[in-house]
Amino acid sequence: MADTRDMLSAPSLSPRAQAWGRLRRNKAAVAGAVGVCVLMAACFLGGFLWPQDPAAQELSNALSSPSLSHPLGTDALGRDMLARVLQGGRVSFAVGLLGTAVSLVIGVFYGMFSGWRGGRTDALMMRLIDIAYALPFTLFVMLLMVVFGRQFWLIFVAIGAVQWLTMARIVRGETLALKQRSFVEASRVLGQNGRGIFKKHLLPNLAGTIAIYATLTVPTVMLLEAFLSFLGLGVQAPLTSWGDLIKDGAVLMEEAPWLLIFPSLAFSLTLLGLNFLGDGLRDALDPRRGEK
Amino acid sequence: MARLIFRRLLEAIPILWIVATLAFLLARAAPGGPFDRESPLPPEVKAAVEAHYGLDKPLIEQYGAFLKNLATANLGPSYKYPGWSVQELIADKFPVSLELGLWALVVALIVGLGAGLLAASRPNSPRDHGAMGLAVVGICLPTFVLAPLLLWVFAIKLGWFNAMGYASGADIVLPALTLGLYFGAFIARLTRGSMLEVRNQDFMRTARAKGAGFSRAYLLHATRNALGSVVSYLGPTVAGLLTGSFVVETVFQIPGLGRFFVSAALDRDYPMVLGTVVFYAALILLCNLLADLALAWLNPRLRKNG
Repeated sequence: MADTRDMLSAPSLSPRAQAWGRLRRNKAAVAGAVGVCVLMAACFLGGFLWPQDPAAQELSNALSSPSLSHPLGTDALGRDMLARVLQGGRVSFAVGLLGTAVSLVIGVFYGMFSGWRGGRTDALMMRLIDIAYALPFTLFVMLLMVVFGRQFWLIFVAIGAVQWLTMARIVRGETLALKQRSFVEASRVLGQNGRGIFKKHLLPNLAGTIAIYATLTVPTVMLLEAFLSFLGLGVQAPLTSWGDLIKDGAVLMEEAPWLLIFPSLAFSLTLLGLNFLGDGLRDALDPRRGEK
Repeated sequence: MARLIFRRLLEAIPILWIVATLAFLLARAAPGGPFDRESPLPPEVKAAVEAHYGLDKPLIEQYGAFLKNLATANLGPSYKYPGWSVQELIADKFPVSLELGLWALVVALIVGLGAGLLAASRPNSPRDHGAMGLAVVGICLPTFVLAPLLLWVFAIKLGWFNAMGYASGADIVLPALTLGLYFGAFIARLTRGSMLEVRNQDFMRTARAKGAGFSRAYLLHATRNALGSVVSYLGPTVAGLLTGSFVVETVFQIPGLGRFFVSAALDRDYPMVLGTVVFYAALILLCNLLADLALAWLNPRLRKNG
């Protein structure tokens, strides 16, 4: 139905512009995008808007409930919770984005290479992915944290290194399909080398798919980081993340429920927004799927 | 069918070997041994302890011994609990986790299938939007958010359940709900999607044309075909239940293997961690096999090609 309307009102729009239009009409996706942008902006610019030191302890004022001077209350050491939640959000978003970037690079190159080579290389590389799917990767990430200590860079590298499988599979499928298209063949006949085809034809045509799955990977990565931090295997003090704050809040929820509620709320709203945005992007860029 | 089982079991061996080797190498790559404490042991005591556990031998010899023991399901002694072997500890703790996991699976299937079927029975109706809205909320409440929240509301504020411990039957309710609802939300979305796909297919029209009423066609013919995607999702669900059990058992203080694994990891009890990782990997493979068998049972076309 939406497609008919597109064709009647704007017959000359490019597929990309049509997708953009479909995305903007999806209220949930727009709300999700706006919400996540607001939260991210608050976390990264929070230091300017709310200039309290998240590490400053005020023991006389420990576990005080939300008030004007501390809108989200204070924790067991009298630290301002608003500043802590903003700081934790910075770490959570940073891990989410960096981890996604790591998984993106591995997944896209693995998938493109596999699809482009085809034949036995492809069969072997996809078999490896099948095997990798059966490995308990979360346990390996936990093991890595135990063995090498809880370093910030290790967290997103380790998470990114285990989250690329689906991306590789999807990119490989798209590459296989693109390879058969006449414009790629023409480019090859005209003497373009493999690298040029990658850059000129494959990457631009894969960009939409990559954007969808990157958006859907960010919440997965953030979830895994929060899970690790909740168990005490994630980021280390003085850094904090939403998972780490939820862990502390769960211990003290009887005396100070705000320690649990605010970080949980921030984290759940972020997941909600990212999921809405990811679903909306998928429906917008792949209308056949959306129509089902 | 027998071929499928045989092939899967044969495939499981190299996968388990990869898991065991990776885990072994990781544990041995650790800077600082398991007996480095804050107050250091006298060097001769430490040497004697390490010799007792074979840690003074070359790496390749340790690896050989590890694999040999693994093949006979001997996972070695625990460092943290002297006198206990790892397999004894797993046998002691796992039944609790299994019970919790099964109840969580029951919750996930009832909630997921129920909400999914309800939503798909009338797409884009208020009931569809309501069920799917709830499912989205469920997906945004991972176990480590939901567990403390349920505990706070139902145990502390309302006092309906015990906040801690695992003694009476009612103590399983909150943990099983925490674990189950999250996966129920995923299953609900999956069920709805595949039901909508199936409902327009030819055999549905045939069933209706031959006189099957809406509910018969819907529940019997469509559901059986739509269940496939849910069953394929059970493998990842089990893996997720395992990691979820780490959180739930920690929050609700349940003496299961999940909580034990986390504390073993924090204590650097490497044989325990290694053994549990291999055990979990085997468990996931077994559940994938069971899911494949269920899939073959649901879809006769898969049985032939195995």
